[in-house]
Amino acid sequence: MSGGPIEDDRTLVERVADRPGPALPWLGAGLVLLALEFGRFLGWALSLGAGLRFAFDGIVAIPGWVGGNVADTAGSLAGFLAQDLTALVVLFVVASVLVRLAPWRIVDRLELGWSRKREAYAERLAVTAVLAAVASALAFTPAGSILRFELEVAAWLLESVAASIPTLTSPETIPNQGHRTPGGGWEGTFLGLSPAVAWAIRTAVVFAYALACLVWAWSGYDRYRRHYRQADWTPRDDTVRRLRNHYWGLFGLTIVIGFVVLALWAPAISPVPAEANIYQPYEHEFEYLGEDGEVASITHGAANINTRSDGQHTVAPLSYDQYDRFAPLGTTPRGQDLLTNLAFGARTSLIIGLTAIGLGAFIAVVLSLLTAYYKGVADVLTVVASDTIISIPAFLLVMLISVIFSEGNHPLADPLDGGLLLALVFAFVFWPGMWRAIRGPSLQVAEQEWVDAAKSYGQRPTTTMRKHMSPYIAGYIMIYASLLLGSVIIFTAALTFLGLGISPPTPEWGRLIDQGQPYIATSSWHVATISGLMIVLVVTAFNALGDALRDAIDPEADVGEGEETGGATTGGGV
Amino acid sequence: MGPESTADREGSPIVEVRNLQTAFFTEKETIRAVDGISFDVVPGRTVGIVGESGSGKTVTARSLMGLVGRPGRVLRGSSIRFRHLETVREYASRFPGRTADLTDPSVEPADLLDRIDATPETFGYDDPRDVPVAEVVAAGYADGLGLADGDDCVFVTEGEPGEPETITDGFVEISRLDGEPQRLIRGGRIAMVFQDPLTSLNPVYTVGNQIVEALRLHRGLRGAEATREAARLLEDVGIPDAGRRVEEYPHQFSGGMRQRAVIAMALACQPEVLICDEPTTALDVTIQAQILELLAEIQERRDLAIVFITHDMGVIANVSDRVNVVYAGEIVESAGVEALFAEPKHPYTRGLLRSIPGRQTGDRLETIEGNVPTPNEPATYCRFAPRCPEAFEACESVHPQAVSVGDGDDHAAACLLYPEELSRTAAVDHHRERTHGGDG
Repeated sequence: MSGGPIEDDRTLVERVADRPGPALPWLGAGLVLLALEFGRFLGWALSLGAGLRFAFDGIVAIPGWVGGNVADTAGSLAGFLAQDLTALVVLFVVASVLVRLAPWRIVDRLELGWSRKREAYAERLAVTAVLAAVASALAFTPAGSILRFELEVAAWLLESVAASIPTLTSPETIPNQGHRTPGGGWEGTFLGLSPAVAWAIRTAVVFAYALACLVWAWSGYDRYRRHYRQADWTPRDDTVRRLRNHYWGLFGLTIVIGFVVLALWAPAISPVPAEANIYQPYEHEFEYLGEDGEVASITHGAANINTRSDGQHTVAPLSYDQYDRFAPLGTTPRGQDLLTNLAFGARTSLIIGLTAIGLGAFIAVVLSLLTAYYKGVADVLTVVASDTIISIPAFLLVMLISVIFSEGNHPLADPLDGGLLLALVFAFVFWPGMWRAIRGPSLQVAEQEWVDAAKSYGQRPTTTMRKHMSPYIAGYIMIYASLLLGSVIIFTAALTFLGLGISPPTPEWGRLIDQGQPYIATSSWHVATISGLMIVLVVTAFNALGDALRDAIDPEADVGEGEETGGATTGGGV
Repeated sequence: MGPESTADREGSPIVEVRNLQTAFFTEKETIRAVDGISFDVVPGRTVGIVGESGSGKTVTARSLMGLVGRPGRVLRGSSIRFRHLETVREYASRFPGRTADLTDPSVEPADLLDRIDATPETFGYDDPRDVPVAEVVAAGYADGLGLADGDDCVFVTEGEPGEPETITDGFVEISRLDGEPQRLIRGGRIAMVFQDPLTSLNPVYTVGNQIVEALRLHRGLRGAEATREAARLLEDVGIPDAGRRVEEYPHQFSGGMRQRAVIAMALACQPEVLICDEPTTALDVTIQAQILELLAEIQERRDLAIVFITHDMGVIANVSDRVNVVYAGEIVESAGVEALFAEPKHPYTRGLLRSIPGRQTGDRLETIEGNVPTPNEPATYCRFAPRCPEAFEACESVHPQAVSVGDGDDHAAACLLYPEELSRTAAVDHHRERTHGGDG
């Protein structure tokens, strides 16, 4: 591969600026893709902001909560003290994080001549003081409520912008909800087509768009590799090559991508809006052509009662209900649209899975690095903690914790009707397993000579762990995390099946199976069957992907090297 | 058991190792991997440490770098002093809380002796007031003196610690370092070249990247400037086309090139002392010669002090100025390189020299029967006795001390056969007396 001039110490941006040929079309295509779905991206950003705000509010609530608890037992004065102390501790933690993130250090400019440790603590304390001043100003003066109001206005503005910008895949651009006209055509649908066709077009556009994004990302990597990367070859190339030849893994990857697209574009793929059909069914009306030939209007809730698939009546897959609504996968026993439930249920599963695995993996990685580097007491404590958690049956533990929190009406049990709580519980229950899985590799890499070499030229322990140890366990944790993601989905579904995990109205696949299970032998067989098959497919796909990642990352498991040589031609495996 | 001599030094030593003891505490046993080793490292000179596998060479090197990890640790009473004026001044100004002033007249030797549970007799004095403070510290009781506010690790023997420019003599006690002061010494003052260049370079980063990492830490270089400096360093160690090579990964280098890169990395921060732990063992003979030549050249250019560790008597003859032969954690013979090869005194050294393969065919190569024992408790006998062809009864019960052998006093051996001029019983008594008379 031609790699530009040989002695090249320019940055990537400079290299692109020098030879923009291959990069420009790619950037242009990226802009087009962004513009097509800008409203949706803005919407995602806003939901992310809402999540952050929830986290922020939770942290802000900690001092009050601690203070209240102390006040209950030790009197109100102690309560105030505890509240203030907790607030200061929280601010100190925030200050430490901020100081770490800041690119420059204040103390370096002051040149106090103190020891490093003292300087660092002085700096953190100073930032804490500043934060405390700002926080009390916000809490005790009108400034706080003004700021909050401003932020809400800004968020509302952004939301309305997001709603008003035409988005390629939104149900407004390609509407599929309409009603028959007495003349035999359709009113209100995309180009007057039937709702089934309009829905099919929209879904096709969604997947085409997602595919275009993937192609765009791959071409970006390819262009970078061919035109801008300095090294002819990096170990990543081999990983990609091995992954490309791993058909079982590619199958898994395809399904996983489909699952993610289903979750991300759930509003576009759903034939009816979830808000109207599932969350607030009696507050949204729609029009249909009545039996008397008049166009009437009815709420979703009232219509749903007559469109149940409960063995006696059935709205089968790929059919219309009596209200001119197209149900690609039929309806649920509650009369809601099954695909809408599946799509938003995928969203629930994905959020829970990613949060749980992300948090659990983070805990596992940090602990494994610390225990492998320092060994000794840290190691023993972690072993004891993880063994304690593992010794309790996982399912029982999850049930126990989630019941305690949801019965206690803890604020954590609110988001997603218990979904966030479930994710946190999974993180708590699953980190010991992940930690064990990467403990061996971590200990191994801690003994490598290059770790000693890093120490020998004076590298800091945290940097040594991050730079010289973590890349070696990244692969292992990725494999294990992708395998566990499947288990999290099954666990969530199983809990909801038992009526414990996520309560309605938040859609969840386990609940669909639970609802459909009594009618499996009737004409409404589709509810439990389709949901069950989806779970099987997605979990299998995650396992396949994990398998493929393991083979791709491990340089010694070189599968599919060139053309498969067949079992008999070679003696020992590579 | 201080070194018999420091007569070979022209310059004064930059590192003084005194009574270094490193032990590993496992559940089953305590392994005294290094058990009382003392030697000096002089700028511009190479001191060799040679011995069989398991004799404690590598642990010595790692102790110097502070790389002995759990369950091992450097024992109390060991002393590794870094005598480098610039460093002492820098440390005195940066870590005043850890700087001890040995010139302070209010420090009473009697107090110090109390603190370390020692008697004046340990130092060969009757009256505690006669014992010089510096000597207490120098005898290897560097820890726990409590002369500074924190853990004392910087000792000033001449000058005013409050005003670093006035300091004219002092040392940093490496064996007591941790945290920031240790990181500054590591790499910045003392660097290490490891045995296997394949494993001491991280395979996921380019060679340049790893050199840049060290440059950033100690010299604050960043970005393109750091990359250029890395390329210059690679060129310095004889890597052709260095500009391209900095962007390559360790696996794209040949073994010899890799070791050159490791040396470049060690030199990146302009250290005063280079510790080479079997740097040529993983290489073939011609590459080995090139690397040795490179080291010699760098040493001359930078006036570098080198500690060279190997099991190869041939290599040691080539590179060192002074050789310490270690056996089971102890130095059994220490001499200038010519003297050692011309007149090896200790039976173990002789055995080692006889077991170098020659070019003659036919003769069976001589070996030393048996293996290096694992020392579990303090020695009360000669650890080599079970394998020694010249062992006699007293070897089982008397621990030999280093005594001067040969003409000058720079040749010492720890063997009951010496001093040669005494009769055998007189020599044994001499050793026994010195063993019980304390460590001085």
